[in-house]
Amino acid sequence: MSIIKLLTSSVGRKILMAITGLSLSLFMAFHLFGNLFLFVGEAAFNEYVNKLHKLGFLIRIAEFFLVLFVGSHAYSGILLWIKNRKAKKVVSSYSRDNTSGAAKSAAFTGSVVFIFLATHWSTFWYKFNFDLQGMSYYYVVTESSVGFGSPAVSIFYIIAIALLGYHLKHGIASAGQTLGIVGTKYEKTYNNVAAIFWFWIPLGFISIPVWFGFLVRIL
Amino acid sequence: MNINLKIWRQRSASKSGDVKKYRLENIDPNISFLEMLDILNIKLVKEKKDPVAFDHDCREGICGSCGFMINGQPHGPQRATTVCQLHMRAFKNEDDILLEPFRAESFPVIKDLSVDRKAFDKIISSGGYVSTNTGEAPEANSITIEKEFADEAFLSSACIGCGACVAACKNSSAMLFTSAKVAHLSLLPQGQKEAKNRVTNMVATMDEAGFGSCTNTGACSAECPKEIGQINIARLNQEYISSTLAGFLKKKE
Amino acid sequence: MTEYNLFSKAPKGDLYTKWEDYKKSLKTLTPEEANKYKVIVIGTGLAGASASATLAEQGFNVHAFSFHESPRRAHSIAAQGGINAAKNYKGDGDSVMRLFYDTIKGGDFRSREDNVYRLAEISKSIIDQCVAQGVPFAREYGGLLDNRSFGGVQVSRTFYARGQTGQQLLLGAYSALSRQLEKKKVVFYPRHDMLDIILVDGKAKGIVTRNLIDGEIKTHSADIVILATGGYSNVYYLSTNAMASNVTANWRAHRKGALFANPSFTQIHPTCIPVKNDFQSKLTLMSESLRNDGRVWVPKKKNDQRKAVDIPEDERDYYLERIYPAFGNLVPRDVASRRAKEVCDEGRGIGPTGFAVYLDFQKAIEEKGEDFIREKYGNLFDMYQNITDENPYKTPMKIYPAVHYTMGGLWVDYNLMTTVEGLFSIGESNFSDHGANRLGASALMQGLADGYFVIPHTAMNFLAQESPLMGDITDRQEFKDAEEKTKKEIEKLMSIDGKLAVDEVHRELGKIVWDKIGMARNEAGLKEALAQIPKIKESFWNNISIPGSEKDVNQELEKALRIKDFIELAELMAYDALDRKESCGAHFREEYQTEENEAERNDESYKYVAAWDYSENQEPKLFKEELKYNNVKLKTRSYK
Repeated sequence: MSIIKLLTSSVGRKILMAITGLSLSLFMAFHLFGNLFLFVGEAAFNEYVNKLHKLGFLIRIAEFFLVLFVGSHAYSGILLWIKNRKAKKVVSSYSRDNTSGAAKSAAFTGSVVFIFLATHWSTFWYKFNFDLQGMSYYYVVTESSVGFGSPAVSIFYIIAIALLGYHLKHGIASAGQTLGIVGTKYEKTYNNVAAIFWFWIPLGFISIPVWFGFLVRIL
Repeated sequence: MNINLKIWRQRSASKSGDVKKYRLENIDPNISFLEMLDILNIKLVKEKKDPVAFDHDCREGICGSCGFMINGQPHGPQRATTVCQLHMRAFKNEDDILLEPFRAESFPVIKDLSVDRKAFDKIISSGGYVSTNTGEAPEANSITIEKEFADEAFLSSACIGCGACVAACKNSSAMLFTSAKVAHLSLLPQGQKEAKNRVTNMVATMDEAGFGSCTNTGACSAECPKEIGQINIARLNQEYISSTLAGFLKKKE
Repeated sequence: MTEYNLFSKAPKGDLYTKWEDYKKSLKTLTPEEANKYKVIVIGTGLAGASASATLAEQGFNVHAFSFHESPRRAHSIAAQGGINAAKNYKGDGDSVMRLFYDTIKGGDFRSREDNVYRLAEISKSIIDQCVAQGVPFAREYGGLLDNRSFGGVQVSRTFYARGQTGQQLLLGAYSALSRQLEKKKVVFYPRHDMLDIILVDGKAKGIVTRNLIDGEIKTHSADIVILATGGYSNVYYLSTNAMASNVTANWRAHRKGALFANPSFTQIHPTCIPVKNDFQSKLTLMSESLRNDGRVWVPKKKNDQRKAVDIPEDERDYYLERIYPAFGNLVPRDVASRRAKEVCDEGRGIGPTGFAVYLDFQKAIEEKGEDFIREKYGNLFDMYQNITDENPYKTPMKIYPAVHYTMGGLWVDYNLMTTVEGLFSIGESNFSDHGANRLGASALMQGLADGYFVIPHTAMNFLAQESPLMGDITDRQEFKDAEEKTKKEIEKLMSIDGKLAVDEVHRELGKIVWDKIGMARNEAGLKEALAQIPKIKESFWNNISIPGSEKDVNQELEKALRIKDFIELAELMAYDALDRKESCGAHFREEYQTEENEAERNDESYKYVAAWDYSENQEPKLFKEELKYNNVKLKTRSYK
């Protein structure tokens, strides 16, 4: 069977989703590492972003892959969702369900995350790259039009990241099953690491709007 | 005890169906669920009405013929039990009991509670075997298999092919069924030679038959009368990945 | 009327090399030649699936029919215990000769030496075959196959897969069949009932089927027809057989000239869960292994209404231990069953119906501990508790014998061909290798021996001497007539419009057969049965009711088509039991017993296979195949 065929079967698509999903999770960890410079101070954060931008071409390649991963993750997800809708014949019934909430809502939380990403790119990413207008990076993040100076933006970020965490809760566990890690001796380690990704990293992200959007003003 | 049944009635695949109500009184709580349906059917026959069609045969929980939804649960409320082994004492007096066929695009209704599970046979035909002709087998004890693996393989092979997993799944996925067979054969040395093609062919057949994909929710194992575990799905995935990688490496050579 | 001179056609020669020598003398076909032939197989259980797969591997075009939706549903799947093979892995002195002798003796010397020896010989290859297919037999820690002793034999030769050996073997045969389906060498017809057999110039060349989904009646032609349709225990209404197991295919063949052998040899299994009420639809077997630790008893007093725990030791009668001090609770199936009936008939039975005896684990639990018992029988105890709602760790199990297997079936020669040329019968459906009583763990063995290792050789030899039909011949008059006749019969059934559900007639029939042709028979009872069965027949043909249409799924019609043949079979069973004026194996005639109430065999007059010929509206005609024993000495079974 050809590779294309193998990767477009229901299991193949799941594998693709697992690999892209886990890669994006790793990227999140990297992204959070940068964000935390915000807490170090304005100069440190600006310097960090400048350094990144100096990589130039490499950054574009990385971004290309990020978009590709997000795209194929979403594309596979949508195709599977359609297939699954077709396979199920729903009826009158009595609905009783022992599926976990995170699993059931994965398609929904995924969609919200996608909207969030679109917003995120059209604001922060766009400004950082093409529309800085002489402002510092730190300022863009903390000002009140698209930055966390605006309570609306902060709240939107907090909710979206929380949902992303919820999405990852099922997603990472599911990837473990899809990649055949469940049932091996690595399962326990995997689950511990998974908790970092679906709980602690989103919490780290959330700490930024919470601090810059609210606490910084109260304290 | 008295019970109020609501049963899905559908004359054939091409006709539409609906839920009809029946009341049974003075049911002995110690009879089995299917014996309760026998009583209903004898009553219907005597009233010259069409009895309720349902699949069943061994009534010992092993042939896999029986199975329908009872109040939204495949095989009813009791854990690890086929409907033929379910007894009326699992219900209360004056309970409402809704019976529906297993619902899935790949399991068309034949009549009432009986569905066509041919798609399962197709999945097995596409690779669920070891290719050995009669008479070619070596002496049985020339292959030794660690007890641990033999026992694991048995647990996977205990699947009765009833279809409850498909009915329990929100996506009507047949992954638990398919993976149980893949896992059974991949755990044994006899199954190794064909392992790569087996898993990809069986998954392809499963997809073609119109089953949904697995979203790893675990609902299938929770409802499985033989408690076939999620580990089987992980094993199938492992096999699939190694098969894909092998295909990839081969192409490069 | 045809006269039959029954002869097994077993080749002459040394018993020990006979089969191997014979195989070499048989004619063979290359796959290209075999491809010209079409074979119909009815039934896809152990025997049918293994035969279909193997014949397809040889190149034949196999058309397999089953009333099930899938071969994996066949009742072979329910066999629990295991499968015997003379591998002698345990080094406990087992051998082909020993398995052969145990089987012949277990069958109370009413089976053919040649067939039984072949079966014992082939048993070894079956295990090899199944292991190669990936059947997950139980293994020892060292990785070798495990064995246990089973069914009262003194060696460990039983291979098993927990309590689901039948399931695993059937799934193995089903996988071999599936492989041939994929190769298009087998065409499978699910949900098809075979309703008649069609002869052309005296040879079986086709069948009539009813599609259970749309009711279509159709004929199919082939070069030979193989029946692998299992046993007829459901003639008793309540049995451990699956609900749809039936005799129709065999009975249709019988009516077309296939002699029916030893119909009254039906095996009663001693450890089943007793009948609880009139709604009971089937009986559940509890593995025989329970008798290793359970003690069978009833109260000494009649109609003792006390609870088991309230009855003191000295008021209990451990009757098997009392009568058989040597074997105790481990006497063979037929003996244990008959003794249970005896004490219940005396009025000492227990439970609400009085037809049950206790199987008590108290002593074993005290001596070996509850954990030991749980480890050994946990799943059986759970199953018992689920069905009866009683905890067997606390209160003794109630058990009673139930019909479980039929040794009788279509008469076949050494090649497994019936008296109709080109019509073969394999597995439980033939009268087979078990004589008057089958030993534990040998039904699976026989089904697979016939399917994998006998029929492929003998059917090929037969076909090699036949010119192939080459194409469909269903437009011949014989096929049209048969189709018409079947349609008429169905119309007639549909038009009865009486008051009874088919199940009610079946239950009536079952009661008579169980009472009169069950565990113990006598002349008066059998004559009564012969007087009562025609009345049942009359009530069936005048007073049943089948709602719905014959053109749709109609499960009542399916049942009616089966019951009508069971009624005729029941009559034949009574004739057969009446003819056999001796007690042997499962056939116990009360008039023929020793002073100690043991079976009294009569080798002088009854050392034969009773093969019956059908004739409409007349008494069946008996033909005898004399049994010859050149390699074993006839002995009286004794378990004292």
